[in-house]
Amino acid sequence: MNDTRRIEEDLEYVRGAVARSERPGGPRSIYWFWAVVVLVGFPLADLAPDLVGWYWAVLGPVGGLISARLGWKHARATGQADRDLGHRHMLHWTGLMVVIFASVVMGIAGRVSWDAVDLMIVLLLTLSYFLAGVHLDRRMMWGAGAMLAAYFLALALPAWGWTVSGVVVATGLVIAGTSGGGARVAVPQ
Amino acid sequence: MSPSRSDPAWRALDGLEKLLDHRVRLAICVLLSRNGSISFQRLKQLLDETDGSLGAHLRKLEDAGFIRAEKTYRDRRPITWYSMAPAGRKRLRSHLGALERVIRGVGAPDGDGGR
Repeated sequence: MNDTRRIEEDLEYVRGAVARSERPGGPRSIYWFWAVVVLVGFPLADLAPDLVGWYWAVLGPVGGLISARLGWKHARATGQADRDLGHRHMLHWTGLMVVIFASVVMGIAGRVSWDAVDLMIVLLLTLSYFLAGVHLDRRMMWGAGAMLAAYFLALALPAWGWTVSGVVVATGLVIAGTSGGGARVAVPQ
Repeated sequence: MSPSRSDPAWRALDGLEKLLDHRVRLAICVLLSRNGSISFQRLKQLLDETDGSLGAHLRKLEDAGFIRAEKTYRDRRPITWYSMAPAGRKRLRSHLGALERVIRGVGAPDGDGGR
């Protein structure tokens, strides 16, 4: 066998190892976690509107930290940790949180109604999930689709719009978590 | 005519690393360059190597400054994590570039086997 042939076979071997290592994204537990958060948080807008702001002001940042922790634990368990990807996720979702807080200021300042702020936040989430689907984890596209559906449902339904939207988004997140085999088998340490 | 490894044109190629001639070592470096860090056990699973063989390859790469090892503990059991050293990343890029030139050179119509 000549050397060029051997190089090509070696590269094929490397390609195989890389394909086996391809990560489908974060752990499923992150999607389950946010599905529960949404399933409680969205209906609050119908049931207890006064609590909505507080709920998300706490659950947003705390949920981000819990997600980071779940991602880190998943990386340790599987033996494959990508710090760069972790940083990109952190920047992406922190950026979203900052913009959401900035949009809340519009409501506080009385420039737009709280209904409009709520809908705008759902649109921001739609775009964030879509961009995360493009750049970070393809499964996020399910979240983007569910968020867009939630936006139109909240806009169109005269009653219980946010509750129905919450169910739709939570379902989208569960589908996202289930698709693509996110739970890579843990490596025995 | 296909070039042989004894052909001076081969070694004249800038950036070709002798250590990465072995496909397991090349795969280790490529995997580590695509991921932040990978544990010994995960590498073993991905490359389907024995402990002894993988350990020997990793040691060679570590001694040559391609990769770095870091020990952590999980449930009191040691886990060794490997990552690319900055210099190793640069040398890997250069090696892969050289390999590409070799393959392209061989595939070229004049088949001169070089650049």
